Amino acid sequence: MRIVIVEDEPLIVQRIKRLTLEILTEHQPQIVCFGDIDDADDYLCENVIDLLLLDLNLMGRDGFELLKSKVSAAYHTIVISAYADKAIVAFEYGVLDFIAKPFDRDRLEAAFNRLLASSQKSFYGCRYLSVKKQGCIEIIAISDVSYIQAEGHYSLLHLCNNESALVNKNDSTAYLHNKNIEKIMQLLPINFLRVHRSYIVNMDNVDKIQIIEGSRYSLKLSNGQLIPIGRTKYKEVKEYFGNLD
Amino acid sequence: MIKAHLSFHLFIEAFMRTTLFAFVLILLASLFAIQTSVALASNQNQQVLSANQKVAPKVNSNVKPKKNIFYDIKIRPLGIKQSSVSLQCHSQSIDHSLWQTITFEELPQNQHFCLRASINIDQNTLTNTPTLLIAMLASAQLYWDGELLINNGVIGKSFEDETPGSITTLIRISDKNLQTGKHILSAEMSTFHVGKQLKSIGYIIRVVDEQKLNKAVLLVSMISALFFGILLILSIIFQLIYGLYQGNSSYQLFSVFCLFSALLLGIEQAKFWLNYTYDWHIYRLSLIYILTLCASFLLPFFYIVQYQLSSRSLWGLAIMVSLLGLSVLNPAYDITSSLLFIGSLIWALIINVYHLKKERSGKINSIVILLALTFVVLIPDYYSEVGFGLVFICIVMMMLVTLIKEMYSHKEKSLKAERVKTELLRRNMQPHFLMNCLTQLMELIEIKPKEATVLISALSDEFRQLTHQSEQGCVPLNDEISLCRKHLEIMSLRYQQSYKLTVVGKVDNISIPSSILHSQIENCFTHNHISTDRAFELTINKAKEQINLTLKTPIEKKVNHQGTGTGEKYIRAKLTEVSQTNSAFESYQEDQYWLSKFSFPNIKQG
Repeated sequence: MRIVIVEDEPLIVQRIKRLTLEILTEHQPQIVCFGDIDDADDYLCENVIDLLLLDLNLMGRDGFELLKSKVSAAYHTIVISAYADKAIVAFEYGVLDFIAKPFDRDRLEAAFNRLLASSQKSFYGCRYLSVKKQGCIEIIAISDVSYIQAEGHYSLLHLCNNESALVNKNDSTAYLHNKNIEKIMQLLPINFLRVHRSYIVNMDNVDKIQIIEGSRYSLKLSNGQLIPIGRTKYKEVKEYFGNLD
Repeated sequence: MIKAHLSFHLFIEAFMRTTLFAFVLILLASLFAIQTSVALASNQNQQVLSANQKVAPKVNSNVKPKKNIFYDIKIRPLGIKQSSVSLQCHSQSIDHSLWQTITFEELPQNQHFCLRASINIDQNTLTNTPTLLIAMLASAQLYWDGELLINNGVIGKSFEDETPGSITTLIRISDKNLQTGKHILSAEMSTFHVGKQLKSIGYIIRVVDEQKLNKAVLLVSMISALFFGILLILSIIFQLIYGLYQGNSSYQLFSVFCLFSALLLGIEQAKFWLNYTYDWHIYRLSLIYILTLCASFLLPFFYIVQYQLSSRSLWGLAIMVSLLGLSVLNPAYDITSSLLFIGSLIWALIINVYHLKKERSGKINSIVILLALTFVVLIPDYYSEVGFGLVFICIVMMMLVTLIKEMYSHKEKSLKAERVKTELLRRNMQPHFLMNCLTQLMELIEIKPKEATVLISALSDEFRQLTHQSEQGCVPLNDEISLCRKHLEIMSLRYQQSYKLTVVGKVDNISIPSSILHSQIENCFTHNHISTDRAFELTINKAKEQINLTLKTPIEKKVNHQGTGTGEKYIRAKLTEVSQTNSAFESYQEDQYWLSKFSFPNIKQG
């Protein structure tokens, strides 16, 4: 497992590194440390990593811009910060976890468990997804997302109230996110269901369940589009609607 | 403590605002009163000859003299052996060839003489209670158409013989003496008790309506009394503020100015309600002169103190010399006071304009003073009656406004000082610092417990010193340096480095606004990567009473950290607390160093 730590105080770096090595021994962690994010950026561009442990001061505007660009990346980000009052905002933008300083071994371990168990959701569902598009970061409100489609190592975000989506599948309003569908799933709020190996659907945007040929089911979205439901997922979808009644 | 302080402040401010409001009301009332008295005067203009009106000495025979107004005033000096009888002073028609025609203003001083004045009475235009009003500095025996009217004092041929009469004479004239037609007022007068040479000793000779006169006098005295009261209360209040609350010398000056103004107003208006014998007039004038001199000096000096101009004594000397010069230059005693006041207004204007150019404030002050000045210069007669009080009140009001503004800014300042004090503590308790320290402590406790104890004691030392310093405005430079070194010790532990501070220059007998160096070092850590191969360097330079400090921070590169700039704000606020004008702070990068330069006047301790 490849982990990058960004933290400027040596003793804290030492602490994070020491505890990480202890907790993740089985996963043979390879840890690289940087004093600040500018130094780390070059490395992050050229290397594939699994986790970014980021010391971030979210009190200023710069901190937020930085966070937005990190959460659009393929890897998960866990923020370790002294400013605990900004935790919710960090979650809303899509960090996997937010660790307030000072922290102990157990807290760090809980965060790593969340990372490792891909079925486990983040503590607080995100409200935005940030996407890199033509070198810029775009922020998409999660309520605007209709469904998410797996696209190899990436995910394709389809937005609601978008007539053109029917006409052209590769329309410009579909956004490519760097995270794979499992990682995105971890960040999403509970109204998003993994209905298929390749699909996550915003259930607020679903019209009804439809049966098509044989015993196959699909979801009809409010714009008329059909999303297939995986055989193993049908029960979960049914339960979701059951809970609503 | 602070609460009580502020509530007192609020009380004072409320009081001052109320006074200002009252002033405006009274000003309006007095404007109304003036209008009334002007209307009164214009009503009588047809009947009386005011001493102020310049009437040609020789009445042109072509122009018919106005009804009910004295005209053709003639005098003839009495020699040692002559008497009014021998000159036929009180006879109906006499040869006037030896008589000299004058205006009433030109009554001769220190003489014994006869006076004759004619009047054409028209009974139809006379008012109900026609009364002869004479105000002058003379003893007189008055005759109406050759009939004795009244003796005012005892006339004499010399200073010793004369018993001075009172300054105003008011005699009801019976209707049978006021038949339509020409009448003669004649008098034998002596004016030996005038004293100093005055511009004029004859003030007024008119036939007026007694009721209306009384009303006007009552109105004017009432307003004067109001002004007098307010000025006196203001004087007392500001003396109290100065003594008990805030030892600001401009408050005391204002208080004294109000006191002098009140006295001046009272004595100036004394002529309306105090009928003294005319030999006292010169003493009253002297008193007015002295009070005017004081008030005239205080007015511009108030602005000098208020605006905190440098070289006060030089200004003060210049003002005093020019005012004294004015009073020496002018021979006539009674107009010296007006001249002094004009001089004072000019000085006030100069100072205000000077301040306006320098600081771009005090515009309204200058305008009001300019208006007052034009008023006094252009309409001097009007000024001497009621205008005097008005001009004074306007100026007092302006001063009051200035003081209210100052009080307000002072309140803001003391609130700000409180904020700055808490800011220092808050900044040092901020999560970034505290939480990171705690995280490091956790690590040290688990790995090197001994170092944890060192860090804890260093931290507690720093906090103790900071709490102590936040209560202080200024601290000895030595204490500040030791606080900085303490901080560097903590930072060394935190970053596992060794940061040092070297001091160049003499440290003794210098005091510094508390914690500003500490704040700047802290700032440098948040915004830069500090290099460890070189030490921090503090250079102390003392030029007279001005302290110049340069802090060189060795940096590797600048981090664009999310700084909110509170550190710099704190430093600037602290420096302005010490001195608004003589303090400076700048900070910039130069090669491998971040330079921070502080400059402030040394505050004596003790």
